[in-house]
Amino acid sequence: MLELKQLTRVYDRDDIAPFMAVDNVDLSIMHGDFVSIIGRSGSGKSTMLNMIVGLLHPTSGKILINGTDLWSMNDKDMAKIRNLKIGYIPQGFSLLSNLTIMDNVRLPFCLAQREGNGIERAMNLLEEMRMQNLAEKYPAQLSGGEMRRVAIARALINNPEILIADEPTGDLDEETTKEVMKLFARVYCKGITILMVTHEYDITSYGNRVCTMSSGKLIENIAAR
Amino acid sequence: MVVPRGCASSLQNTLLRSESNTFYMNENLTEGLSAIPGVEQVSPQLYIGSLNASCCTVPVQLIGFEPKTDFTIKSWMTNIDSSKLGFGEIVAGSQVNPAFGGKVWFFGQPFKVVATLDDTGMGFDSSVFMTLETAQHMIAISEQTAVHPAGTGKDRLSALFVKLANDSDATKVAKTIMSAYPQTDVVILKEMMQHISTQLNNIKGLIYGIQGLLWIVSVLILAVVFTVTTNERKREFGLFLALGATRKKLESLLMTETLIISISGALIGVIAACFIMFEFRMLIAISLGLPYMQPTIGSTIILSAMSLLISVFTGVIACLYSVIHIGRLETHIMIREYE
Amino acid sequence: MKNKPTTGIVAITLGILVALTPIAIFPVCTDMIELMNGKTLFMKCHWTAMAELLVGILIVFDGMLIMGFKKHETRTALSIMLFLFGLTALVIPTVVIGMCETATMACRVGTEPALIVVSVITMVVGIGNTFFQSSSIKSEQLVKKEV
Repeated sequence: MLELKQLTRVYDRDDIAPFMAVDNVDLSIMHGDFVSIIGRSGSGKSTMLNMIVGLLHPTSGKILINGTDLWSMNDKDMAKIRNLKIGYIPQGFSLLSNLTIMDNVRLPFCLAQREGNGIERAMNLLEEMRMQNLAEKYPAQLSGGEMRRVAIARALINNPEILIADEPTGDLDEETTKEVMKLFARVYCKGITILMVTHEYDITSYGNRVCTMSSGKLIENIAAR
Repeated sequence: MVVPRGCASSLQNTLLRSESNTFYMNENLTEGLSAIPGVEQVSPQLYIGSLNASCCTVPVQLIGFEPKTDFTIKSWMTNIDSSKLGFGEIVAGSQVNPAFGGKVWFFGQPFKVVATLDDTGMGFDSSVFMTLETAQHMIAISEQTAVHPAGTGKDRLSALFVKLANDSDATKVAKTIMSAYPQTDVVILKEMMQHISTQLNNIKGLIYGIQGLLWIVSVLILAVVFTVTTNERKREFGLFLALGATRKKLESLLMTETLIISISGALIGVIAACFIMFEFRMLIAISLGLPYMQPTIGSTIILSAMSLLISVFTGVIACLYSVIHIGRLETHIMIREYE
Repeated sequence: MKNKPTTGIVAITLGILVALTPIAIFPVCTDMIELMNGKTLFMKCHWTAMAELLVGILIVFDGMLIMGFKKHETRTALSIMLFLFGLTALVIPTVVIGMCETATMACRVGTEPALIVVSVITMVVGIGNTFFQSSSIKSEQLVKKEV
């Protein structure tokens, strides 16, 4: 469902030679895959993710979502893909601090301009994660793990085809990491494709495919399948 | 208007600034003036200031006029027949207490208020009108009873109002009067009004100038504020884009926020301004030192609507740069915040 | 939601304004009037000034209490009091005691309008904070219920 063909991103630096953050990456993700991309900081994983989600323009190459080239679309169609087909969980703190948890979760629903107000759907998701009592609270009142789970709920509100997570356990302790990954596993069991970027090798065991990114190049670890 | 020499400014202050003045002519020039070519009618008036001012007694201007020959004061008394004003009866200006039907005491004598004038914005508001006979009787009483009498002697007059024939040249007639009677000063109404008009235009020009400057400063300050706050919220906007908002949606979000803020602020400002302007109307009138009347409700509403529109427009203009700037920042917003 | 000291500071400022307006900012006449029988009396505006001084001091105290107490219920009650003090400051120069008769006297030209403006602002602040504190109570109760 997601295919990367010769995806490249080059940064021009004035006095130094241009920097190749992503170097001719090929990757094919099928429905039902749980792909983990592992690499050190600066290996180009977040850059690649930003291009896939449609936030950063590739220098060359293609990103095909269900056969359609993402970057050949206009702004409106790309926004629709980001809203309905992709559930994106950004790195770090990504909730809006002036909205309640309920409003944060249903934000993508409201952006889609669909019928209804999404409250019931958001409540169902929060109940699934046993966080319904936090609905009227604000992000500042939540722990790191709770905020990450809210971000996952927000990514799921529009029933996306693929969940894309950038360092979902990056700043969490061991126990909270396990909690979050169990949640990912539950989501995966429901048939949602997952693409996760991380620098922690331990959590890659939750998925069915592992790729390594180094100096902009992607290599799949066949033995981990 | 013919007054004793040196009293021209006193007359103007009485008519326009609600000042209370007393001045008299030494002789009755009514017949002499009527004989001058170009003069259609002459009507005498008598001005008496009621009290010397201690801090809290407010002097009232007493104006005696001759109803049979008068052509100025009766135009302010549209609903009553000034020729029927009797001895001991007075018509009070809008700011003189008490109102219609009551009694006012001057120099120890009661006078009946038979009518009250509406607001004129001029000196008439703190004046009291009576027949010449009543006014001259008042002077006589003041000689006997008041610590500071209003004057001495009978048949006193303060000013002679001269109505000119249609084809007369006011300046020419004025010169004729002054050369025939060098003990007088002549005030031409047109010139007096022109002087006020010039003063008002100067004030208006100053106010518009200040308004224009303030508007420019407001736009600049608001533009800076919007730019700073929009920069602070780059992360938030990046998130909106990442979650599926189009650039247009983001721009309309910003614009809607700006409109809500501008309209709320403008409404609060307009309501507060109207309230304060209404409450402090007296202070404004006195500080201006010019004829002043409270704006009507209709003109206030129109002014408020215009202020509202301009304020909202100012907010939108100030926000425009930020909206365009954010619209162009698309990809870099998220990236810089997260990497 | 955190309690901010803004309302308290605003109330204290308004209280100072109410107290000082008839005495220093737009002072009323201090002279006394002499009656026909030789007796001297203070005018109405003097007594209005004294009453407003007292009300102003009470508003200042109210503002200090609003700053000092943290509970929303207490602050709601104090805000209602602020509104009532504002109302008192409004009716004293207009209805209860009043000012001098003539419209061009100092107390009518400056003092009365200034007191009206400040007391209306006080009432608005009082009512505004009452609603704000009440909504804070409501959302606190909502959170407690869910837990």
